[in-house]
Amino acid sequence: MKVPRTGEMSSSMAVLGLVIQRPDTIAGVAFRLSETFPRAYWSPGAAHSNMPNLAKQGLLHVVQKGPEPTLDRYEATATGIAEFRRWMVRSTSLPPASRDGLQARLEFIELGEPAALVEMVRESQRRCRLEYAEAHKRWKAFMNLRPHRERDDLESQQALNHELRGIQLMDEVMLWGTQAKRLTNLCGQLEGLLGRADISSTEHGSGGG
Amino acid sequence: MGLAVGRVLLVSEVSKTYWRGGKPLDVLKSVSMQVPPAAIVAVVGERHEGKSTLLKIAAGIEAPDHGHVLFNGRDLWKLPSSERERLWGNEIAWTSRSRPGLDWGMRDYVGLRLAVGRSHGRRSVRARAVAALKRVGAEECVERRWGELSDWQRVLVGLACGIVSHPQLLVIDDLFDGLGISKMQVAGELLSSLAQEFGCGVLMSASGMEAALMADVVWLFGGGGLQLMSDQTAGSGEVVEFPRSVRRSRGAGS
Repeated sequence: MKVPRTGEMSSSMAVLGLVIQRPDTIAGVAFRLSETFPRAYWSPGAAHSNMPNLAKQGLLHVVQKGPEPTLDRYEATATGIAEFRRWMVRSTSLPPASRDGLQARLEFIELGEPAALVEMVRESQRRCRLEYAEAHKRWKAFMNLRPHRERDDLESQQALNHELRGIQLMDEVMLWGTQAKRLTNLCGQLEGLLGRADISSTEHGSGGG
Repeated sequence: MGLAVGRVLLVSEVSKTYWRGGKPLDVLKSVSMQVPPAAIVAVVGERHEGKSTLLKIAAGIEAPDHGHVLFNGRDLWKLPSSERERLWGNEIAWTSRSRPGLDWGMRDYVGLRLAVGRSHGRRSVRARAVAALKRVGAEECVERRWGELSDWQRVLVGLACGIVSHPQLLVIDDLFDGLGISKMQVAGELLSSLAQEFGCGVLMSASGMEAALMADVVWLFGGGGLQLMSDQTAGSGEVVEFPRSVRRSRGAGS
């Protein structure tokens, strides 16, 4: 199966992972895809197109026919599970920052660039803050609602799964927080430098006149 | 969440400029924020950029150039200095992980916050200091000196210093920096339980985002200003209206 070179998750891999988690219909997976990865911006028909394709590749198979194709129930095959496990542990060929749009723009930035460029960084930072607020809200809700457990219950499968969920949520908060902090620093540094460049060019301009 | 409505602290359009080598350095540019009771408010930013200055102004330790700091509705910087000093160490507590100047045992170090300028007897001061150390789980530190403590124990002692006077506002400067994520979670749970127990608002600074996980409100500090990252206090959530029919029937019944 073709895996994106960047190592980013394709919609077909996400669909395969969701079906491995739990056999489901196309309609069910479409719903879970949007719930689990709300910011992935995959096509709304990602589950509809991917599931029959994955079945053709032998990674999924239909275990129960429904009254219509979207209600056919799919399950992962052993090959599908093995393929997904291989993808999970495969290292990415490029670090994400190498394909980051902001990094690419920074590569080409020059002194005297318009303030709009800093504004673009600021807008990225604003979006990161919005994502952070959402992730932080989920994390706080998780922490407030988690059940109190007795000491000898801490190693139960349920408790460990709950802890795993906590780690996932916390990582999301940290990801957006760190990114927002990075962009704040970047904004400050660019503003400072471009401001000094402005002053310098003004001084040289007035000196020459 | 169960956070009380209102605010313990309101910082309004506060500015501060230092002069370095004859040049102005604006460390705070019209900064505004507030701390509700029993809530943890985190200010995250790089070191030496002005976070501590903001916290010192909020705690009444340093005066702003412009703006107001209202503690329970009273402008800290319009109070007589004697009254401000009374608040400081009573209703407002300040703590950090900096090394104490005196090589005392931790019972006396924590008790010092109560002893200065107040009428507590020595026995009472020591008893409350021991109770504070026990409350944060640092009872083994009672007889120890600063140099004998682990980093984690210094954090706990810092928290004990913060709560020993049962303050309404606890200001914490970089106490949690450098803790690993698991210790940070333990510290966060402890701090949350202390804030709830004493009903005190907590204003804390940190240079890493890890410390902000525990907070109810998170601000990002940079370039002398604050940017709101997240506000999970009770009053900030989405407004969920009752269905119209319910509102009508309630209105009709009243």
